[in-house]
Amino acid sequence: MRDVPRNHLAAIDVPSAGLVVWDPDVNGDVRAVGASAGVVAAGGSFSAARDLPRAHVAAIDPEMGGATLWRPEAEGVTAVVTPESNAREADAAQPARHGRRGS
Amino acid sequence: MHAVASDGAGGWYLGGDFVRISGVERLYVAHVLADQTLATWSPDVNGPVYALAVDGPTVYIGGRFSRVGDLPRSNIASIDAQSGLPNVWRPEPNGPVRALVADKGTVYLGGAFDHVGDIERNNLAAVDAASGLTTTWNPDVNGDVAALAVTGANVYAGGSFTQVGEGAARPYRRDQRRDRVRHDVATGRERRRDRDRDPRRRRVRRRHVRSDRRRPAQQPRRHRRRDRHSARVGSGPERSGGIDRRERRPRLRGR
Repeated sequence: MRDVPRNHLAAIDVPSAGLVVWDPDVNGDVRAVGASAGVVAAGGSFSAARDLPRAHVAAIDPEMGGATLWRPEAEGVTAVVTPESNAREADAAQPARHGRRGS
Repeated sequence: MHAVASDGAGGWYLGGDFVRISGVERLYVAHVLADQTLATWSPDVNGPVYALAVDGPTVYIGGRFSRVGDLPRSNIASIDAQSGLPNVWRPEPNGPVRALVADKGTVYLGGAFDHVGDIERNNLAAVDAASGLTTTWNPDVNGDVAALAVTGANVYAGGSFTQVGEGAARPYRRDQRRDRVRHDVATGRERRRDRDRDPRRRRVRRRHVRSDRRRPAQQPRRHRRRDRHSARVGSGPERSGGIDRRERRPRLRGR
């Protein structure tokens, strides 16, 4: 089995356990992941996803693997993101994200 | 507080590093009802709970513990949502579990371990929700997994890793075969009853027996073929051997 580089966030095929090409290339630890058909939200101690600046929270296109325009710029390490239908909704509903420092 | 999961009725299961909630002893897990009162549900866990998943009547907890109630449970446990007692389900990962998802009869667990039971699994694994046995699914992640989500055909894993195995081709086929066998076992009884009830099927079976009687010369050959098949199936791994044996029974009756 060959190992493939994947930084902190990866998608794995359910039936085959094979790695999906999807590669957001997050530059720090990911502590939380929420996913729906339309978006994958990640929280953690990172500052960029594929060279796009994203502080602690990022929404990633489930097809392309690139960060979406959504950029909430959280101040603390984000440890919880809700697996709700849409990351934009998560942004609107403030309790959905918690900085780790506060919890 | 590390983990929160909805109970589906407006309340929440909580997991974390606490031993007390609003002055009442609750060891690392608790259930808060929709009216914000504390439920009596109180599994006695002996270490922090980092992950929770609710699947119908079952609450899965993952963390760093070795016991639930009076029973040994390493880092993951399945707990009855009503009684708070641990179910007979023991995957036994050898390191802390940080993330848990239950999806379509499978429980995915991520954390910092290199074995689940006796089987080598690096930081991410899948276990059967019914049996607790490790499935062949083996992504082989080279660092801790802290978060998991499942949608459609993908499991999304987040953590502090830098490499993921490409996935072996062979487990894919084995997985598929096992799924098929499992499925047949699950529905086997139903299907067999339907078959017996179906008058057309019954007629076919009787005719078959009669034709065998008319031509006894064919019978030994058919037996031989069947035996060869059963020998091949039986020589598989111990676990699937048991499943196959059960699966074979309805096929013989159908003849």
